[in-house]
Amino acid sequence: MSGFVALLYTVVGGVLGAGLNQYVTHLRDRRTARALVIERLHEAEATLAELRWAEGNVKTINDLEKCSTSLEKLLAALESACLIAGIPRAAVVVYTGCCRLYGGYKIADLQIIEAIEAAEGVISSPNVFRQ
Amino acid sequence: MYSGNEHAEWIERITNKALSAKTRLVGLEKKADIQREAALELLSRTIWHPSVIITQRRVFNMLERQMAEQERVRRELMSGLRSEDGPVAELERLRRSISHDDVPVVESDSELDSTVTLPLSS
Repeated sequence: MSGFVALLYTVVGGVLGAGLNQYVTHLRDRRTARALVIERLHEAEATLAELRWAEGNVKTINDLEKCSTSLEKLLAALESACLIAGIPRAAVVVYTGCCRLYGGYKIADLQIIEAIEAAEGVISSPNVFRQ
Repeated sequence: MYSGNEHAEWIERITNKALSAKTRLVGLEKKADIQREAALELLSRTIWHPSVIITQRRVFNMLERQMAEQERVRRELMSGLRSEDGPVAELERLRRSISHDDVPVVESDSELDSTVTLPLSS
């Protein structure tokens, strides 16, 4: 009888230990994955800040397009990091979608500014309106 | 050949079109930025407390709907901007026509006064 109880203790202890070990490892992995999401989020925000202050830094459309391409890559990396961390899709998609919208508008805005400036430069040149 | 006034009106029309497109873009840009801030806040909360997605389900749904609508507006706007009669193409045509000397001769000083300087609303 005592042999059976000892066996039972051992089995229950083993199962609990394995389960607990698994649980703690899972928690640690999840925390690491979430930390990676935070890093990716910061990188995306930094690139967005570059886009936001583009006018002040007198950037060209080419610069902005490069910026936008790197933002796309960062958003893709963020999405995959969120997938690994188990962040719900709705939370991620709304954020990445807004970032893409913002970047698109910013580039279109600069395109119009450049077109206006180019036209303005030609119109204000002294040879345009001749007497 | 255009008269000086007609030419000035043409330039003014193109400029106004470009500026109204720019104003609309700036408005949409601000709206997208505000939505991004809200989405960032929710995403940050979700990272720390995943249960937020359940408690804030309605907010997420609302943001998703708004984003879908914004995406539709963006597509329309961009196709308008990039079309042949869009402001960017018109400004480019204007620039080319002037730089290739296809410009009407302005007859008098009074007509010169009615010419346009392009106001850049930054």
